[in-house]
Amino acid sequence: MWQQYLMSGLSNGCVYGTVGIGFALVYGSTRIFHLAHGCVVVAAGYGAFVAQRMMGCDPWVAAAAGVGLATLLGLVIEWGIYRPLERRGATWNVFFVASLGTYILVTNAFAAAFGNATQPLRTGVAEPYRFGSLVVSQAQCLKMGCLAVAVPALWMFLTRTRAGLSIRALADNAELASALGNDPGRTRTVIFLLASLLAAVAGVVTAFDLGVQPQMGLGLMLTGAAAVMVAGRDHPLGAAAGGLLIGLAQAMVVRFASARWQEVATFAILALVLLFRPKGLFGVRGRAEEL
Amino acid sequence: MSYISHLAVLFTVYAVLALSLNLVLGYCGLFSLCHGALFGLGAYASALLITRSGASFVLGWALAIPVGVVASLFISVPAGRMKGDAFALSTLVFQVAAIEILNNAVAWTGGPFGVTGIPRPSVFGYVFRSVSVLALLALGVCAGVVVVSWLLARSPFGLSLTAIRDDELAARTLGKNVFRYRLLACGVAGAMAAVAGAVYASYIGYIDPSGFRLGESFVILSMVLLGGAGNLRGPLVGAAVIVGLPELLRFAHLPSTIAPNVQQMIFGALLIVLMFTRPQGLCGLYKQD
Repeated sequence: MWQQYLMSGLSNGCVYGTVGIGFALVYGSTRIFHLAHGCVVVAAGYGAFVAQRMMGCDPWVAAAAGVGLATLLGLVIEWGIYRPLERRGATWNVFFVASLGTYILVTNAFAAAFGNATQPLRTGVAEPYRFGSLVVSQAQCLKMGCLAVAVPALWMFLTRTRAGLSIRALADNAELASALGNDPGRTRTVIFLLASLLAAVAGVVTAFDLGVQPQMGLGLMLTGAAAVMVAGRDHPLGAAAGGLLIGLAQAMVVRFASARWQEVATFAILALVLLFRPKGLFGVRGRAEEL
Repeated sequence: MSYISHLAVLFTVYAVLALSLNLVLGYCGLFSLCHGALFGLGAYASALLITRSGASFVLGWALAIPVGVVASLFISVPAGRMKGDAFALSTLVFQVAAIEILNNAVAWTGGPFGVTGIPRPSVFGYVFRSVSVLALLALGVCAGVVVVSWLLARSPFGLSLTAIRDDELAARTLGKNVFRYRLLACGVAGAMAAVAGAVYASYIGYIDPSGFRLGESFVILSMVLLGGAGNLRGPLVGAAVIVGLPELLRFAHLPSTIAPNVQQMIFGALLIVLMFTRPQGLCGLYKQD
């Protein structure tokens, strides 16, 4: 029976990891606390919803439409809001507030258009896969597949390609990177493209699993941010491990305590990490004042 | 007349919340995402005392003060030394944890059902049923909080806070114990937010955890960011905007299902525009730079 909890924890952890890697890419390179990551997730869900329910597309086409729309939204946020603010020399407080404003604006726009209730994307239940006594739903397979594909692909991208190397250079020392000829604008575009793509995929998978509602992005984004902080901000792919850890912790809480305390488990881990290992589990040991 | 009184009570509740967040954001330079939880804890403390033991509203509202201070210690003691975004995350942890506890400790707090039947304030058996009198009471509380904020801002304590906010290292070299100042400032802010919750609970008569979630923290944060932080005018202007904008929107005759969402959209858009044009908010002093 514990395998079932493990499976649930792993698949949820994969979603948190996917969102977290995107958040870590943005945060590590640009120090922007990208609250609007959450509205990219929501936009993907509603994009798929509109394509499937209102235009009657095939689920895969609807998913692609949702991912495309949300990635575009992420890029628009970068080009329209973050880039101009960066040019004016804004500090991270200003970015935080602008991101907050964007999140509020976009989420409430979707709520005004589609209502605050959860809208399902599918009717009926898909047939799950069975491995002995273990039952794995299609959604869980999709979630795990996302992370399983994303992590190696991103690792290859970040270590072997020029664009990936310039992302890491930007994260390490932005001024030096641009002095050596890396175009920060192009690098930032690639960063936000990747991050929004990951968030959009997570959003579409969650939407097909649980339905879409305007607040679904906030919880995912915050858990993704928690995963990033838990794993350490220096390694974007570490957020995958952070997400899995949080997912497994939630599963254990459900198994041994009650499902009511799931959210607390996530933030309890974050609190412990902030207190005792502020640089994250995979980061260098440091003091909280140097964060 | 009672409509104006209703708006007055709401204004005072939000003004006290804004002044509380102003102390943390405008004078300490720290983002707090947990004011919804502090608001809720004060409301619950006051409501539970009044409904479970029949105490007078004065005791209930007074209990909110120590509850707010103790709650703020849960944030400021672990996180008082942290930098900006780590502090914001710690307040987020507190916000989520506090609301989940309020939601799940059913035996103590009624869980998702909340606390019902909170009576209107009464003195020696005479119940102030009229909203106008309650509005006067609430305005009195708000005036008290404004006076406290004004005195704090002009005091050496307030000046030290602005020094720490503007250049922490320099303040440290001058011998300011940054951690202790943050503890004190968060304590006062927590007390203020909790008192706002107590007043709110006595007015509305029913509270449940859903009104104090992260979304409410965002509303309080938006209010102070819109109105401005760092002085006394900004938070009051922010509170006036938060209370007045929905009333103004009535003239647009929006359907009631989407009216709250449109209000929030306007706030979000205003925040973005303000960050481009006027980062210190409409009337504030502290620019985020």
